[in-house]
Amino acid sequence: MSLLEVRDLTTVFRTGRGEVTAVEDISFDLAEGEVLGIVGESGSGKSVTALTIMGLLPRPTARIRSGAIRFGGEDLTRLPESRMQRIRGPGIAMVFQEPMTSLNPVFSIGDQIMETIRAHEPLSPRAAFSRAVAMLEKVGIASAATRMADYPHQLSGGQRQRVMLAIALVCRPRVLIADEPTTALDVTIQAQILDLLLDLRDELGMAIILITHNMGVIAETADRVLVMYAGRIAEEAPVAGLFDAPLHPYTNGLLECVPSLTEDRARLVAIPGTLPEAHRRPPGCRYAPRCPLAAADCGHGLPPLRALVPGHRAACLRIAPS
Amino acid sequence: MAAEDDFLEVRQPPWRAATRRLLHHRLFLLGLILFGMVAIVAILAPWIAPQDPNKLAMRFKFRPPDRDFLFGTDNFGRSLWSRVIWGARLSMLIGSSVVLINAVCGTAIGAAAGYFRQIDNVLMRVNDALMAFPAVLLAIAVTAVLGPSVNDVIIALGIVYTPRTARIVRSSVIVLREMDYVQAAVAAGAGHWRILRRHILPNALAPLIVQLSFLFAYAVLTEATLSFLGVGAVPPTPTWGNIMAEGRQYMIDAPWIIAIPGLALMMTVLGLNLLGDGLRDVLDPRLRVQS
Amino acid sequence: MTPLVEAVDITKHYDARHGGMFRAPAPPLRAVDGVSLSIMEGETLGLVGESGCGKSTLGRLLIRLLPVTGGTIRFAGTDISGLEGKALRAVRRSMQIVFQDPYGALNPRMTVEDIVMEPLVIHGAARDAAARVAEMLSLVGLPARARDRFPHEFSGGQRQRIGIARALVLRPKFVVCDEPVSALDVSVQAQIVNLLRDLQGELGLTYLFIAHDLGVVKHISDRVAVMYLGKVVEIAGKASLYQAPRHPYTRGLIASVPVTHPAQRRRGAGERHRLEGDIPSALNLPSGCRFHTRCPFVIDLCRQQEPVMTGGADGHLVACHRAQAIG
Repeated sequence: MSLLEVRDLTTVFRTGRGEVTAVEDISFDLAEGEVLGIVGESGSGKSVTALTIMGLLPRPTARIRSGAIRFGGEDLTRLPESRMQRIRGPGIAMVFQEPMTSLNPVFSIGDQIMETIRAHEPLSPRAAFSRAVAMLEKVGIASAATRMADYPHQLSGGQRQRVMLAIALVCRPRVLIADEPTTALDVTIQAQILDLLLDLRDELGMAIILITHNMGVIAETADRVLVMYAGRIAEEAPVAGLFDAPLHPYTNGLLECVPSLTEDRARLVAIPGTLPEAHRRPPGCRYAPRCPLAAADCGHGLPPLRALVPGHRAACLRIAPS
Repeated sequence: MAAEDDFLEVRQPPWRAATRRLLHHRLFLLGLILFGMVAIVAILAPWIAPQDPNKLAMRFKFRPPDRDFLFGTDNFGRSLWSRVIWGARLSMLIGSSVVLINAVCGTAIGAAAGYFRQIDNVLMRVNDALMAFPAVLLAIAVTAVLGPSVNDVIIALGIVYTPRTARIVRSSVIVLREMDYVQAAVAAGAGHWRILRRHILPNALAPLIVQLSFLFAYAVLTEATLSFLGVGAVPPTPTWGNIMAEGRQYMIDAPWIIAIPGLALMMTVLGLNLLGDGLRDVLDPRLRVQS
Repeated sequence: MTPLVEAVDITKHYDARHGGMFRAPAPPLRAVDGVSLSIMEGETLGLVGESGCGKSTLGRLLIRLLPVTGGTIRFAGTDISGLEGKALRAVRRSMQIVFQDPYGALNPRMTVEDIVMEPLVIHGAARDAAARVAEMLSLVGLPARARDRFPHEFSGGQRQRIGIARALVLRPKFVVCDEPVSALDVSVQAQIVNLLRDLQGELGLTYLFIAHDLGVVKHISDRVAVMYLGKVVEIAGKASLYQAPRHPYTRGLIASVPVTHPAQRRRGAGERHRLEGDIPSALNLPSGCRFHTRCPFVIDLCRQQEPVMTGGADGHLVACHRAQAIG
């Protein structure tokens, strides 16, 4: 039994050029305690997937065209906002990329954590306070009881992201969605936050959907990986399988084009061209115009996502099942 | 090696895209119609006004609107239609002159203050002092010194509003001078004048245009206020404020005298504000609805 | 080989707050605080460090985009730190910069041709300007029809090519690349890195390549300098720096880079030299060695005395009291 099931999800945005699909036919499962990495570049639809699950799509610009998100016996796409509010927090929580703007500058961090607790549980102020302090200690804020009165501007970027994690986790969610949680941070702080995320997963037992554009972050943290390109899933695999034997040419390109610290190359292997804009996607396979393996039939019809190796799916016509 | 770049999509130059969006903006179009009507009437005043606006005809006094006198007559029997048309001409003249003064002086002062930070403090403190004065009081003070004529009203309103325009230009310039493309021009050896002319002012134009359309409305309103208070253009010059001031005494018996210039004023200001809102929606990306 | 660019003990201090009627003057923000380095003709010096370490400021000081507070900058042997007016404009021909943000780096109201041609116009070489712009565009891999388009019609990677064309059209000797790929999608980054390398070979350029991505810096650089809080703490040939880092900060930085394969994961404390804590504020620098607040090897000496750059004949310089002991 999976904790979260996404089936055939399609989300569209209304723009000046008509409706465009940001996320198209996405299906995946999330198991208890699992870290699912979603990797993709700008415009891949990875963040929209997260917002769709959270029910935080900007209205009325965006809407879910079809599909289901099953969580705790309910389809989240059909829930009214009032019910959804009770799921956000204790059910599914989220942390965002920008730790500068995700906290309200006029309230102390203690107030913001306690507000989250008391929105979901009838706790006394005293009990909420001690729970908030305990959570701050868990996310590695030293002398937490005195820091409760601090305002966001008194904290560094890394500390703010820790506070965001505390707010997200204080109601013990079963799923945490982390959307580029370390992208705005320096590399030494990124390492701290990723370690912290995995420690908290072990301690609290929640499942994590980690969204990133960085293959290194995936290599450090994920159990299973979805690779997204131009709104669709290109490949899905367990992390070792993905890095050992990537199937989709796009995944291969992503792994190749990042210079590594351990080996030297004369030239980087670049993926030619740019990502297609949402309203100008090519017919057929969306990666075909940039793909070194593309043949004529790649230009007709979307390639289906097939299990080519057990547990390892890819959407590419050029790869034969083994 | 040339990268296999995808085809560049042909898009319109920035200003053409903006024009296209403006023509789809309903409230902007309504504003354009309202303001356009007043502007056309003002331009054509000498040809479409049926009577001399200052011609006294006591036998016709206090005639309500009818076939002979479209808007009725006032206490001296002057045609209100003619007076309102000529008033529109004056309002437009004053409004556009004030806008012109502001566009030139406000931009010059704002750009100087924002770009040359050494003189910023001095310029902006003078600015603050001028802005701290209530606009109408300041205008009264200026006309008191210069004397009440149309030219002096224009100068007074120019002095009153230039600090506001300067402040808006200055804040855009401060943001723009830190842009990387300005730094690139510095690195390429460009002088101050070139940087201001090619890189800063063209990009500061959008918020300025928005501001100027609101300013036009303020200028028209303030001019009417000054005339109404008797410190604007001297009667019998047909300004909307003067007509209303005279009509005030007869408000009960001949309400059209005060109501008609009032409506004209309202139509002009509403039109300009809608125009400004539309321009802001299209030109100011900070307020643009994400699509 | 001779150094093309040489910095001797340069500093850049910003007055954080003037003293006034009601407050005491605050200490200045020391963005760059005594940096000496030289960049050889034809080489790429990588400059890494975390945000706020002053690496971008240092790059702009070297090409005189910002005035120095103190110290000397020599370009091709001549002191350029005090140049003004015409003389300064003349040396600007030889030093250019490529920016990080491909959106803010191009004037939205100018066509690509006007953007790339502007440096030529400024320096009065307008006769064959159109031909040189066309040549430059093809050199950076843009189609000729890009000429009369506006920046908003291009993707991030293409805009970065336009920015590179503008920087190189005057045929400079020295180019500061200020995080030129960090705002781009990963699949496009490699294109730009390759392009910069190709152009270096073709045009004989010298680069200062500023980045926070250690992998990209390692790929493109000959030597690498590491900055921390306004100071260069280590500088060495890239093989030496990445394989045998001597400064604890460099070690921590390298250890923090995510692995490239899940099999290399090293979870748990002590498994890696990850750094604890945050970067202190540049307004309130730690005493002695500025890294001592985060250093796992700190001793009393580090808190009291600032280490100086020392090193052997191999050109590997490090500013650390403990470098010998922990080596």
